[in-house]
Amino acid sequence: MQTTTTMAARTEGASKIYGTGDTEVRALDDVSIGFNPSQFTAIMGPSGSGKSTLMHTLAGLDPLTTGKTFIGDVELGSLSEKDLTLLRRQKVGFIFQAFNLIPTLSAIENITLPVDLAKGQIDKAWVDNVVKTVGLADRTSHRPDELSGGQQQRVAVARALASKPEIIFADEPTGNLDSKTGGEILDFMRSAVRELGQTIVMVTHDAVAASYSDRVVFLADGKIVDEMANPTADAVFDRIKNLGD
Amino acid sequence: MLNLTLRGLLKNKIRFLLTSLAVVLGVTFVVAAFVVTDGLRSTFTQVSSDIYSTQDFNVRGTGENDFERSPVPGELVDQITAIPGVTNVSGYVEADQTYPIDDDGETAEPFGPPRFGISWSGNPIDNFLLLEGEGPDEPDEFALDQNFFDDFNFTIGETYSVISEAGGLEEFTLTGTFRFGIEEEVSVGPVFVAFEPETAQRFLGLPDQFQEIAIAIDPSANADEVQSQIDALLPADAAVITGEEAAEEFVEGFAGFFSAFRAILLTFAFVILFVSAFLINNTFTIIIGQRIRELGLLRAIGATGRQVRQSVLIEALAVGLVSTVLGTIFGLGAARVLIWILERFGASFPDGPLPLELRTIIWALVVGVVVTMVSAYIPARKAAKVSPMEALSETGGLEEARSGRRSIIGGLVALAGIAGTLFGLFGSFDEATPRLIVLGIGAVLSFIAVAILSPLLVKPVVALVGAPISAFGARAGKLATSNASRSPQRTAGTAVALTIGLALVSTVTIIGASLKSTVSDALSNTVTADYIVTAFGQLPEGVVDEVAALPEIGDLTVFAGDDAMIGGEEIYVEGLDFTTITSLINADLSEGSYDNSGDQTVLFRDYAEELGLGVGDTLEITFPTGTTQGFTISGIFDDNTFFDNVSIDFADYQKYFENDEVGALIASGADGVSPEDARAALDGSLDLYPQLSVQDQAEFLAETEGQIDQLLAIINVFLGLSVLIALIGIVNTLTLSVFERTRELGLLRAVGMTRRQIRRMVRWESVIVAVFGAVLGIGLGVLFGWAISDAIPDDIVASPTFPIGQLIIFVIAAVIVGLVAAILPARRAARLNILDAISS
Repeated sequence: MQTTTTMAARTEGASKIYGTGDTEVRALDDVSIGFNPSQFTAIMGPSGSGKSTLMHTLAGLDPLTTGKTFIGDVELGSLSEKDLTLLRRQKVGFIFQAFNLIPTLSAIENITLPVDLAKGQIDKAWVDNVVKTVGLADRTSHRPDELSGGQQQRVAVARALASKPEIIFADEPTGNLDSKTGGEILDFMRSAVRELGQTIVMVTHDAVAASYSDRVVFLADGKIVDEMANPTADAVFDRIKNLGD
Repeated sequence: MLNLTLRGLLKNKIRFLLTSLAVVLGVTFVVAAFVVTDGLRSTFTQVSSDIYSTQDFNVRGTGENDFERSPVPGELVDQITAIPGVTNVSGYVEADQTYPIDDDGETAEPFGPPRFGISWSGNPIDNFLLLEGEGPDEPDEFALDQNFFDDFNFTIGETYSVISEAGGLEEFTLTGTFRFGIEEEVSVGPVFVAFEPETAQRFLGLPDQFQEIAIAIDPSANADEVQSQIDALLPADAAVITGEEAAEEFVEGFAGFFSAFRAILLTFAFVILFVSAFLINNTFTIIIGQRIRELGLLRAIGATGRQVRQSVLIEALAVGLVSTVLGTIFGLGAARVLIWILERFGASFPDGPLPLELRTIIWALVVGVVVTMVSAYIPARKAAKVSPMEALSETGGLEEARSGRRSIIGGLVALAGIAGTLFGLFGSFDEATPRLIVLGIGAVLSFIAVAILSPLLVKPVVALVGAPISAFGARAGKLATSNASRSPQRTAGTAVALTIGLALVSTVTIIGASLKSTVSDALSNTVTADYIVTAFGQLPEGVVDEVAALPEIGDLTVFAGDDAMIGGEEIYVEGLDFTTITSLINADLSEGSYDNSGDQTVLFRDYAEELGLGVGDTLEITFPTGTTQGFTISGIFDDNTFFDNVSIDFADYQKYFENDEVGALIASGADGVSPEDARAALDGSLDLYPQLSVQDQAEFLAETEGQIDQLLAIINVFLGLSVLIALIGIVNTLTLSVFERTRELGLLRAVGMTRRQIRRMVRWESVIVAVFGAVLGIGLGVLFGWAISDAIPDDIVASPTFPIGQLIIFVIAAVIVGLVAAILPARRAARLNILDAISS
């Protein structure tokens, strides 16, 4: 077991309950898990397993009913709405399935948006490096509607990386892409972890996508049911098939 | 389909409310305009039939109004009394400009209600009721209207000075108070100062004459017989009418006022509705853009284009109907407020219920429903063209009209608008009404052209306006700037209400400023006199002589004027003192001279050219007395700022008009007398005439400018209501945009935009839209103001003046409108739940 100080993010006995009485849904049920820095983790599970809820609570978008979540050493439950926002733009990156970009901003403006919002200094060398790595160097002044779906997701990944966050959450980042383009994005995410030392937690239900990660966590009915290190697509696929058992 | 439309309406209550609000305001104004004028008219009708119910017949001079009617001989009263069947006869005289001076030396202010001196017969047929003390029975007594008595400081039994135009200053003892109306008080505006009949005739300048004779007869007498007997006694310029006819005449006397008043209110209502129409059009366009997938889905499952169009029009119908109902209710309330305001301004209105006539309701419906439906028609057509495929497309959205086509249509409408405006301004018309209609159509077309063309201006103007905001407002400012220009049609559609409102307000302001600077220039360039003495009406008799006799006063000249006939047309002829005029006014002639040798005239060049006359020619003038006299043209002037077309020497004026009355005098201090001493002497000499105003040039200018400013303020308050509509429009668009950008806002929040930054972003966008509208509006206002100033004759407005300070204030006001409009949408945007927003 690692010491808590080295974790990029973690939960302690995290539970999330929606509704009350008959309509009560236990989306997360006493989940304790940590994510190491410079690791690419995939969270898998069927619909309603709580994987999205886990990600949202970890990112400070949704408060827990009981338990604690940490980004680095900061416990999110004690933060005000404003502090949570500031924490998100400084320490957390996001990649969503779709609609990742502000349509009125150019690619480069989208990438530097979190830094701009924080009125922070842009680490130009780092941003240039990121932009070059995602292969967008000649498209930085384009608007999102002038980019293909794959290019848009690459901008989203670059945006998530631009502020050098402690952790990046990706919600089905390749869900809207064809497998070839999706593969390129996942390749890039993996190299961001391996070469740039970033930490990524990705929610997915695609075994192939999960196979790009270093570690797969399986969720069912709000509980962690299994883990797998250095997964392959086939192994993940087999495991999911049996997840209900 | 209908069910679906109605459910959609109920689900989007805020949108429904915001769209309705604009129409509600327009309908409110229309209803208030009709209700107030109908109410006033019906109350006046009631009042007048009450007043004249005591009379069976009324004898007075023939003519359209009191000014044209000559008085009837006093002996008629006795002659009529002698007719069998006549039971009661009372003669009546009255004269405006009759002022008693109270214990504090105060009297009526020049712009207060008219003060009528009247004869007090004590006969109830005259409809005056004694309230306190006694009626004036002796030649040195007077009584006062209770309202007048209450407003000023008088004590019954004391002696006071009273001034009349004809009688000058005299002392009378106050005997009591009274009111107009026996059964209930009738307040028609003027207040009364009453004298015993013979005194009234003498003091008011109508010795042994009456203006009206009220007659009551025995109910059993043959009315027709009595009437023809009375008629037989009358001179040619007098007539006998029945009490009912007199009542109708009384009401008709106010008819012009009612219709003018209504026309003004309806004009403002039209402006508001016109602005509202753009707002409704814009709202429906945005809503349809947002519902494009829903509409596409409807088309995909089999709805025809026609059904889709109808569903939008039904929504418009519902908005129109609800707005009409609310607007009618608010209109009744607004009518009360309007009357209250007018009463604060000194107008006096009788109490009474406010009638909601069928005609008013029909107009409200026409205005509320038709305006809404027409405004929604273009969006409805676009909705019908949505293809089923659009339900499936990822991006969706209504295609904005291509800029090429937009420029052509907009350009054509603009040309028509400019042509109409110019023709209205500079074309020749016989009457004012058709000119105003042409001008109105031109202005409406110009505004429509602006609405069509302004989307083309959004990108450049927003970039300009947004530049400092982007710099100052950091990322939120940059996002706001790009949000404002992402849908040019929407931004322009939202701003156009403000554009129209501010175009009108700045036009009025520019004309006002030009008017003021013309007066000021003319005064400082032309008038060398130190003092100007005027009255509301004519100067009392003797004033000119008194002032002329003051040793502290040097040069003095007078102005008089009345209508005479020249070449079959009624022309205002001025009486100027040709001997003294040039010493006080730089009214230099370009040809000839002011010849005071008698039967000489000076003409304005344009008028002389119109008549084809020059210096040395003869001009024939026919005076109201019937005399026709030839005048030799002794001079021609080019600048008609101060003088009308025709002026004659004051001595001739007195002779031919048989009238000594003077409208104003101007004078300078005598040589070697300090301005303080001259002023003190002038004030002291005129102290007895509180209705006179003695002003030096600066005071005269300040008062004139003050009057112009007051008028401008009233007009701008009403036009300002269209700015209120504009504010509602911005709120509406922003609310819809915030709703539309839910996911985007969620994303911004997720990647670290604070609520405060979100609010700031919405606020800046709102300010940019408002400033865009204001810049366009003020630009148009400058063009209109310039064109109108140019069209107005030079003696009224010489050249346009642009009050830069005020125009800047309008831009600041627009910024405030933007900030206020953003409050609710910004709060809504900031409060979005991030999870809901990004997963929607």
